[in-house]
Amino acid sequence: MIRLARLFWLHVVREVLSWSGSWWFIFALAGGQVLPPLIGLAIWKAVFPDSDHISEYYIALIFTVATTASYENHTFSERIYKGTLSEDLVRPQPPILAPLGENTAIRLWIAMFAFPIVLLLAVGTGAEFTAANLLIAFPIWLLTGILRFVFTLCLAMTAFWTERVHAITAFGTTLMYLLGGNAVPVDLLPEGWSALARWSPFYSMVGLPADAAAGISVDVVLNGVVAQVVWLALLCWLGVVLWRRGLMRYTAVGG
Amino acid sequence: MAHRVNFAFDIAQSLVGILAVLATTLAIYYQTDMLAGWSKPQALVLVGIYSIVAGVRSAFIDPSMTRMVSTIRDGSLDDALLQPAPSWFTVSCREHAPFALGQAILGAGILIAGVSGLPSPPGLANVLATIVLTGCAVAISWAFSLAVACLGFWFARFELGPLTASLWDVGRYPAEVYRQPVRTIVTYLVPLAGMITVPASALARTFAWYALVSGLALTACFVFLAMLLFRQGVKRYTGATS
Repeated sequence: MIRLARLFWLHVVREVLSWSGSWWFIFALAGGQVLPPLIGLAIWKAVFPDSDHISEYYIALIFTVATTASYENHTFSERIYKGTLSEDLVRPQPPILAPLGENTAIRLWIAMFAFPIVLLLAVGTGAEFTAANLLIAFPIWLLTGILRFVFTLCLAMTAFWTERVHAITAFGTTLMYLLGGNAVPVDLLPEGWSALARWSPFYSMVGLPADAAAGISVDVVLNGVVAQVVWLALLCWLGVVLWRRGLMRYTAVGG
Repeated sequence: MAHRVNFAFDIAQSLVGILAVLATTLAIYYQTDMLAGWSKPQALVLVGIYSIVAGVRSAFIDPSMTRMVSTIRDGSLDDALLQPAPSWFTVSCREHAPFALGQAILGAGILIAGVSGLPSPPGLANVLATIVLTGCAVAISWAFSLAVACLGFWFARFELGPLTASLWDVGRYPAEVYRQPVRTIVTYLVPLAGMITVPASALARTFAWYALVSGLALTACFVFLAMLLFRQGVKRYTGATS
């Protein structure tokens, strides 16, 4: 376990240094993550101009989406397409360490760009977060990060079967945007859609930690955590199945 | 079979984005009757125009601009520069993704649905002004994309694709939604919202001649600046094939 933790840490350090030369691209990635919830904040403040909850929700949402962003459809799936996954397969360590390390490094870099924006918004809007809500939101945010990584990795593994991994991931991203609480806070959706969204994996990946940080009822938090754990278990199982079946199909040329 | 699957993916991908925009707009109007002074039919007109411009951009502009950045970087832009046609045309309009026009077709449907819900139908002047201003929006999209791509002549490693893809989303909603000074910036300086809001206003709200004239003038400015940037960039360019 300690060996795995050290290997993971080495992957993170390596990828942080590797991505340090692409700060301009990280800036573009951070902008791409931060802009949609910023636009959502403008829209919903226009609808509910006196609501502090909207400001707090979207500020927490900007932090969540920036720090849980996943790009395995670009990083991991390209290794499948180019055949460089073979290098990970022959190493004496679990192949998931490399994409996990890269994912963590990218998130750290994006967080560095996004955090000043979050701080500025919080000061500018006068948003107030209680310590209790932030403490409740913290473990939910951690689970969100893991869930989003596993979900995107499952989508990226379709690269074993198809060339259209980016289109497949785009569908998943659109569903996350619509039902996750980014486009519309989940409790503002029409009733049937709101219930569907709350139990979907997308709310667990996006809106739940933002709702917890902004302050919601204990019932909603508990139901949300149960949904997170269930979806995480399901997606981990799916990930293992996709990995095993995908490896049976995987071939690479060269060495 | 693979090509039929790719075809289905291309069509579905072009439609899903616009359906998401439509779903978001309908969800907003589930909570309110007016958004920044825009009623639901007016907002549908705006979404329709946004979808038409987005479809044309995705079909005729984005594929070439994406390739332009990579050819500047690897020095293979010579092929386009040596063609017996204006370089700005061969560089920025040589690749197409016609399936993306599905967005424009869906957008036209949304536009018609919005217009049918207006309290009074738009007049001929409104329709003509909207057509001209929508053309201006496509031209501004082209100029903005070309200007961003031209940054590659000075900063070869610059890749702003993920940012610009999200920037277009600013135009999904009326410019009045944004607070000052953001509203002024996205309406006049970087008219991502203005280029959609103005034609939508001409069709669904009030039409003013000064809006048409200023839209044409702003379009001319943007196109001129983009062409200037392109010419200056080409002077700096050195190819890898000679």
